[in-house]
Amino acid sequence: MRSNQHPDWHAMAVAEARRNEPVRAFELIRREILFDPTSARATCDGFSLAARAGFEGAGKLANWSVCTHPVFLAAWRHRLDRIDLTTAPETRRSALRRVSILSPDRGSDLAAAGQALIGLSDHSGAAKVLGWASLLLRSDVSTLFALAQSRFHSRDPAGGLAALDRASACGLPREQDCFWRARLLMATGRHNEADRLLDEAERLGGDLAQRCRILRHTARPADFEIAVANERNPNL
Amino acid sequence: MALEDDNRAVRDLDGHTFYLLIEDAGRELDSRILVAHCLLDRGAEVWIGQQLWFARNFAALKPGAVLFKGNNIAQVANMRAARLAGHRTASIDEEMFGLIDASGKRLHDPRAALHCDLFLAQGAMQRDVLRDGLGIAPEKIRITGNPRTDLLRTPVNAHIDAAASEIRARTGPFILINTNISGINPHDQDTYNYYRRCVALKAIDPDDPKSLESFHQLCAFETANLQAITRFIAELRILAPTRRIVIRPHPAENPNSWRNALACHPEIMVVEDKRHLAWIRAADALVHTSCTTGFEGALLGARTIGLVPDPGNPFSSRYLSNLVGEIHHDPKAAALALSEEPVKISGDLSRIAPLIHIDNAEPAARKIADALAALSASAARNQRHGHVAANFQAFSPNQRQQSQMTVSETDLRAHMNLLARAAGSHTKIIFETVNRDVFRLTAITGGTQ
Repeated sequence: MRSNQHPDWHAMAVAEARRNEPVRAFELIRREILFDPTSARATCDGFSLAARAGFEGAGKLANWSVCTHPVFLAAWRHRLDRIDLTTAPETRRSALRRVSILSPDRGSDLAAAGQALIGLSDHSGAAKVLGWASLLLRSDVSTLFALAQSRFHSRDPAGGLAALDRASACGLPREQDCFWRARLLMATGRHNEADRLLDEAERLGGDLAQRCRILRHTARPADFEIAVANERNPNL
Repeated sequence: MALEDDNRAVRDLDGHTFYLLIEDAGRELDSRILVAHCLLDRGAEVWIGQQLWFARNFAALKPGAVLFKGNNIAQVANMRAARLAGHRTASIDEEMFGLIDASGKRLHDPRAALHCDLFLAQGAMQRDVLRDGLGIAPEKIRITGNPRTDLLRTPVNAHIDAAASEIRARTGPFILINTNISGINPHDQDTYNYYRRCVALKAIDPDDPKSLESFHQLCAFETANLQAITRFIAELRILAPTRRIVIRPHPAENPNSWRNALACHPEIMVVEDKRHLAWIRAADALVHTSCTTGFEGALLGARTIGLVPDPGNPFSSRYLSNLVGEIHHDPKAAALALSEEPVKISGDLSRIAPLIHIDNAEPAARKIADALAALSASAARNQRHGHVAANFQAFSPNQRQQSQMTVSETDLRAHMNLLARAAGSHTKIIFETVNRDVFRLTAITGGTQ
């Protein structure tokens, strides 16, 4: 019991969680968050418990509306910034994909979740979430650029080019545009156009030139054709 | 495993548990099965399967000896987790198999010295690298060889014949070309992605100009190899237009690059079958570009032709496969050689003896089982609890992980039975599927087949 006579719901929630009762624990932590919405500790634990109760617990949350309470959404956003890197990747991935349910009208939440999914190498999940984010944050360069990258990695180069066009129109630096446009063009088989962009990017020098040099090693369809002149090595 | 003259029937490993972790079933499963048979014959319990499932579950598993497939950063992180959970750790470097020089040492994370209890070296060269280059204490190193060579030697290699006959009956006579250009033709789209993977595994240091230059040399090596292969095919089609050609891209390559380019050549097949030894056995000849399969083919007794178009590239002198079989710098000469009688190649393996230990009296699988048994003794003393199945965490592989390591219980039983017959093991085994691609094997007390 706290000194101000309010029950210590947080401590009670932790005890329930330790007894492997995530749904009960969530109910208690929710009360704590409503009692003190500014508590970073409670909101962090609330998010964890919601994830366990909602996604993994033996008794799943019966009513998702509890998670859409504005206070809980605040906890969610707080948590997105501090997603626990010790959590198993599958759990994190699953939780991040639920952002679309919890926070459908918050582009920044979706963008943060999309970026986190890229970090987990879940590129198809990231492409989906960032696609929604880009509808809400229509001129946000970082969201559009991340969308282009996630579409490339999830083998949707045409979609990636469309996202990159939007990102460039919103001010994406030219060197980033050159390198990623070259990758996307190569993935669609437009190697000549890609080469011109890589030439331009290499002239910009620095780390970008090194990345372009690496990318140029990628074999082209013509390299696999038999009975063709070996242009790269005339000695053969 | 009662290989040849072995009559041991001592159940000295009752109560000991061993974990044999697999990254790529096509590469490692059969060799791990040979080790498993050796341990099961001595009464041990053996777990075998997807390495990433084990990485999540060491704390819920009874302490035992864990065999990892290498010493890179990802493996070492998992070794640490295993040791924290009371296990003992051992490694056999599958990435070193087929290499001549020590350049593979970039695949060793220096923290392996802390977290790996036992290094199983494939030969004296690797022992020297571990001891002198990485500072591993000599008592932590055992030269065992690699059981992948056991699979290629009599009597175990008999297990390949049935599959080879089936392939030969279906395909007819053919020349097999095994490609290995996964740097410039990677499964994940472009060379930059391949580079990022190498950096993540610390195989390349992006801040070290020498390391970067080595990466560019590797790409140039692969580009020259690709050109040599296409040129070789073109020359062979002139010399022997009806000769069937089978291309088997490396599993880490994008096979569609080959499929798309060769769609209009019905006499050329592209196959992705993981049974690479059976395909070598079935072929009239194996053509390769410094590929480990060239070395495996030579041990199998196959005719092997190595294309080395750029002998000046440092990577051309890194591979064991270029010390065995026929070697050609000119693809046209290789095509001509194939239309003639095979060159008589010496079967003398003394040239490669320091690089890979092959002991005709005792197979590598048994040496490894002995080494793991000694390691397990300390884990058994440390044993506090049994398996806690309720705490097992599931593991869901992604598409790439599935393609590398998908094994059903039926597949495992079939492979184990086949190899038990070939190796002369008679122990009856109980199979239990613990999770997708993870199996627990126990020997029936007093039971023989």
